[in-house]
Amino acid sequence: MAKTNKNYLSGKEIREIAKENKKVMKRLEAEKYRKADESEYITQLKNSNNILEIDNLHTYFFTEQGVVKAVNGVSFDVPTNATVGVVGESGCGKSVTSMSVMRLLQGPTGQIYSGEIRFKSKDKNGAEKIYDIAKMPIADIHKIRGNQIAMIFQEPMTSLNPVFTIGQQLDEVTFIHNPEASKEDAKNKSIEMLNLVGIAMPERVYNSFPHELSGGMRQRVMISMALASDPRLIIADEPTTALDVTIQAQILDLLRDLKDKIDGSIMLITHDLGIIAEMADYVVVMYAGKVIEKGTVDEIFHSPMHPYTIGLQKSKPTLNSDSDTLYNIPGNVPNPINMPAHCYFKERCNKCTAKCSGEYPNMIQVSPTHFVACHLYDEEQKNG
Amino acid sequence: MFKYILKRLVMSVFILLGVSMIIYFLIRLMPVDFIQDKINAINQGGATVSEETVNAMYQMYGLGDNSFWGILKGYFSWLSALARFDLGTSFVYGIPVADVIFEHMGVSFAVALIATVFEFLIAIPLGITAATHQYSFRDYLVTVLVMIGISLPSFFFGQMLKDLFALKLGWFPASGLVDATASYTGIELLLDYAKHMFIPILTIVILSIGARMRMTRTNMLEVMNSDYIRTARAKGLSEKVVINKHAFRNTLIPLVTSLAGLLPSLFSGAIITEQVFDLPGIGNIALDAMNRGDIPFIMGYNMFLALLSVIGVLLADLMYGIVDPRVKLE
Repeated sequence: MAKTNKNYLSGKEIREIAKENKKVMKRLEAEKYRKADESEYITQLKNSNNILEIDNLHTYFFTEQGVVKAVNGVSFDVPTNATVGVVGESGCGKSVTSMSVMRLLQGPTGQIYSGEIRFKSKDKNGAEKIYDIAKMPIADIHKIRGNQIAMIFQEPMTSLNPVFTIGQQLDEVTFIHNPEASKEDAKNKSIEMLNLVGIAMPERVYNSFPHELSGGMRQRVMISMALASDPRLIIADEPTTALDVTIQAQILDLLRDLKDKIDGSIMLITHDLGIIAEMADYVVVMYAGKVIEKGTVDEIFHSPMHPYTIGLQKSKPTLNSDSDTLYNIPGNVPNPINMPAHCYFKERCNKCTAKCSGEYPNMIQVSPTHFVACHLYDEEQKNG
Repeated sequence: MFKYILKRLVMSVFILLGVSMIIYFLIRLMPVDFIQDKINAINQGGATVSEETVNAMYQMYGLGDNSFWGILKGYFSWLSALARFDLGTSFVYGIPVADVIFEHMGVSFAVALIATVFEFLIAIPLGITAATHQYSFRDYLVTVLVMIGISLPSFFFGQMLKDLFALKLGWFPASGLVDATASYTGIELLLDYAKHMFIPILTIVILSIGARMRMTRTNMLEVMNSDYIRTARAKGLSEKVVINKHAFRNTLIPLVTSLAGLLPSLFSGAIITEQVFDLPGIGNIALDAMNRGDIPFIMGYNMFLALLSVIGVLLADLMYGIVDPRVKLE
């Protein structure tokens, strides 16, 4: 596979890919379904102020055309009581990162290949333990999933089971965490949750089927479902993408209020910079499966450093601009199979230097919180 | 709901009228002539039948006029008899058609019902395992086995099983429904029936599992890849609950509706299988009637199935309304 711009694969190549994929997939699946003692995946946080540390995460999809490195060495932290926004264009791996944290990747093709996802878990008695989610066997994931980490998905229209009522689906969450709860307890808790997310007639919605609700209502139900388990981290994967603008604002307000109420952290995934500016404390910018820049919301919006981040800022529609056309970053994301060895943004970059054809740039620290992966700033690291 | 059912039933009457007219015309146009066959048989016996007797026989059976108006007249006389709940008298058996049908339906119904129950009991779990372990060895094994099942013709496979179990091993009787040499009663008779029906049922089950299993697998795969299954997992539900509650309840929708659609096939009889094992079922009788031009029986049998089909479709729609809350019948 020397040529990278080939559009077709020969039968021999397909068989070779399948053979290699099968070997790796088999090993990873076996690891996923193994039985393991807790000590195997207990680890330590680098900074005890964080609730989640993603460290050099690689999530691959083993397809017939080859290995798609959807998440290729992503590292970032989610501090306690903070909102971390993850931005990037479609297909940059932001959703796959969140799916990896939830261990919801569709096997056997989608697998966490390597890396660590360290999570500060706190059980009912308040005892803290640090788990490495990436190494947890799938049978133990219930200790965390839906319990300490809850997720809100981007498709409220299809994310609720059409054959069960809202009440049945909400009660289930209570029963998972408290199997001894009575039916009334569960119902009361569910209605309380529906109230919390601002649903006007919780009793009626409780008995409704998903198809009887609007998109905004369903997303509220999804949020209430995520909250019913009292999570310490909420992953919101484009929670407002499928909703119209007025509902978007309401849902975002709701999320912001909730963060204070539950005293937890939010990992907000979106491609909408406006939402990030409004909601996030920290921002992670992803491009083609890698983090290219991360920092506080101030740093990213007021002093963006990576040419891609600068391009993103420029392509944001503004009211007081004379131009009729929106700025766009030229070119396309490179083919996810057979990524080049140099910077993935090289072909689209307007500040390219000779160095850019060399190896992939390292993460450079430009301030205590601001990191960027670009050769333009190599000098700063040497100086600093 | 009641109004909906009533409306559908009224519509069914018109459908059945149309169906009966088409079947009647087609049968009358079939190149079999019951009277001619009968006369040929008499002639072969050495006797001669006069022209007048032949004409009288045609008139008696109502088959004298083969023009369009003649057939139409025949149809309406059949219809007016039906209005008096009279399906006519079978040419071959000389007794009322309804009696012939009910006499032979029991065997076919028993075989079909038992076979269908086993078909669902085996095919659904197989389909679910194949889907939840997609592309695994288990999936491939199940798929290959059921594909073999689908591909085998029933006359060949039935004969093979008969050869193995009845002739080589001698575990089960080869044909018929009762042991003619013994006169059993009560439980013993029932056991004898069961023994005779075993291989036919086995044949039908093995041959029909495939389609049902493939259907379950496809549905299950579709459901397992849907967003709400991801939600169910994200909630922290165990994989068992996700599959057996959230996914299965959705897979059930097409399965239940297809179950109602099976109604006519429960009563129609398995023509070829019944032939192979010489079971006195309705399928066997119907094929014979077709070959011999027994018009009242063919009409009665086909209309019975048409009625069941119409009811089956109505039931399927009603079931849909029950299992899928998104469907409202109005």
